[in-house]
Amino acid sequence: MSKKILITIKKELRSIFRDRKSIVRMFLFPLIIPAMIIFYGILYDNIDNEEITHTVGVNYEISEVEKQIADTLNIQYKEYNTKKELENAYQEKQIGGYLIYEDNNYTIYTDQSATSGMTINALLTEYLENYSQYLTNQYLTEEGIDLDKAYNHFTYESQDIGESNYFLQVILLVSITYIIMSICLSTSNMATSTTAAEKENGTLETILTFPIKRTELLIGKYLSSAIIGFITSIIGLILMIISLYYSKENYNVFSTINLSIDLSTIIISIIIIFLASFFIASIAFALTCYSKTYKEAQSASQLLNMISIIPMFVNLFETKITYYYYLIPICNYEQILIDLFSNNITLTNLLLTIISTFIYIVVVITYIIKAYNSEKILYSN
Amino acid sequence: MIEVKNVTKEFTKKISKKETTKFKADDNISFKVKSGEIVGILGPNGAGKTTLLRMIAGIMEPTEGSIKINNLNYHDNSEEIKKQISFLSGSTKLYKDISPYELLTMCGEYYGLEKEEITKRINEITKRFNLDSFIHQRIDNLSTGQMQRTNIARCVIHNPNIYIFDEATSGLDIIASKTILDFIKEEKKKNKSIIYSTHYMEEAENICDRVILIHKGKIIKEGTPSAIIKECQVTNLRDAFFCLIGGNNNE
Repeated sequence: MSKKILITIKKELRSIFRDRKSIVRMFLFPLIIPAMIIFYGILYDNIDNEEITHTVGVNYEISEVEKQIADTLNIQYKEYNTKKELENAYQEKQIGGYLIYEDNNYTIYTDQSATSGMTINALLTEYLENYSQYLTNQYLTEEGIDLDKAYNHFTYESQDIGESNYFLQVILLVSITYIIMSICLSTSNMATSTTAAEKENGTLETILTFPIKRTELLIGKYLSSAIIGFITSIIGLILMIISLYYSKENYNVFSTINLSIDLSTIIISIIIIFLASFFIASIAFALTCYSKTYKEAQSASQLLNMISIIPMFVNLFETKITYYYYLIPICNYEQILIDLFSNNITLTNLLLTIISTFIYIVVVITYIIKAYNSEKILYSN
Repeated sequence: MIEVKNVTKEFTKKISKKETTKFKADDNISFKVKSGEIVGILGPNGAGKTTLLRMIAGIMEPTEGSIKINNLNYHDNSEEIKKQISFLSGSTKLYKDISPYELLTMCGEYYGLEKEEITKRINEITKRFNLDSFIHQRIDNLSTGQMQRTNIARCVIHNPNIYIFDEATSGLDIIASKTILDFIKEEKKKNKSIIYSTHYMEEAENICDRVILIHKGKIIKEGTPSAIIKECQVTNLRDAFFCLIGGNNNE
């Protein structure tokens, strides 16, 4: 590598490491990953351990049997005389919902736009089904019918044949999105400060008078940006792996996940992140090269951050993923990393991602070299 | 020796969303600067001085014509020429998050100097420009005068033969301006070629051996300040300029 490229890389990295704001902006982002994973662990463990009792109003007298069924479902009853009284109690939040019995018909009243309302509705439905079952059983017994013969014609069970755990998928999806976002954020920040900010500060003219080819100058700036992107994402990756292992040991909700992170997984993930950093850095440069000011460059690079969250939606909506998806840059990095950590990776998808990224990098770099050799970029105003 | 021959620089200007127009910032400019000579490029703002100097410094390429520095052209010997040139503009800024020492080291590295040579040059420059007291401070903590001295220091790190000053004293106070003007006089004594662009006519009158007056991208007069003043039958260069452009031309 040319000595002048190395001098430029040194200059740019020194500049970024001396700017506290930039360091915070770039390196704080990967720290969100362990915080989020541990937060999930604490949150879900607490939910599992908590026994929440829901208070429900009724307009009739509760029998002993009904009370027993309600107890098993953690439902607490309050008896009222009229519908008006129930409505008032609900408005005053004394009860979370109410059940009205009229003409041999039960009506459940809950606010189903709220999570608590949906839960109470489900509990009361289960309660009524259980009570109905109890009455059926009582009738059948009175008629002298063997309940065991009436119900148990066969036995059944269910087995999870999915290759990965849903919870792990969600955690991986969010963590990897954050890793890719950290690349987008750090490379766009670097691209902004090494191009537009240098134009705005008036230092670009100084450096252009030095005996360095514009292509060397650009490559130096580009490589420093890709290096920063790679460093931040590697920090994110390491933190993700450590926090997943820590959470598996310490939180019940993670105890069932199948983590099999071996050396090959780590090497492949580093290669993917490396390529992602270099590609995203090139895009960040292409987006910011025509900007005259720091602000303009920042707005232009926002597009990168927006693209990085698209794969999260694709996965959340369980969209069917085809080979073509692995040709879409940024989306493919996130998907291949999710595949990798959840043991769903295929060689075809991996090769599609790697080869397409090489091609994209060459195309974008060729474009920005051409752009940087034009006076329009240097003196766009 | 700098040789500018029939240099024209054309720009495309956007006048509306669909329409563009072409204009010549510099039109058929030719002149020479010999060793040990200070040549002033004079003219009002927008005359085409900065574009011309950027072309001479190798930052821009001429649309037509040629520029030769010590018989080398930018097309074939860009890096070799840039090693012999130093460019200081009024709009040239310094990296603020480093110290003058780091800046000088970085410039030396870009100019391809060896580590020992850089250290030796920095020691010489530090003495010459009195940088001792602030050489390891961050540039953003320096005063305007200290910054100006640092800026000049970075221009001489590679011991160039040619200096290009573009509005170098613009916006500076009298002391900071004097630092630059004294430096130019010292370098002239060392037989260096100097191009000095300014719109301060009095300054040019005092320092330049020869001046080139530019207006609307064209050379309107070339000669020694005294000869031009005499020819226009006025008392100073400012009046000579107005005389040459035909009175108080506000365009």
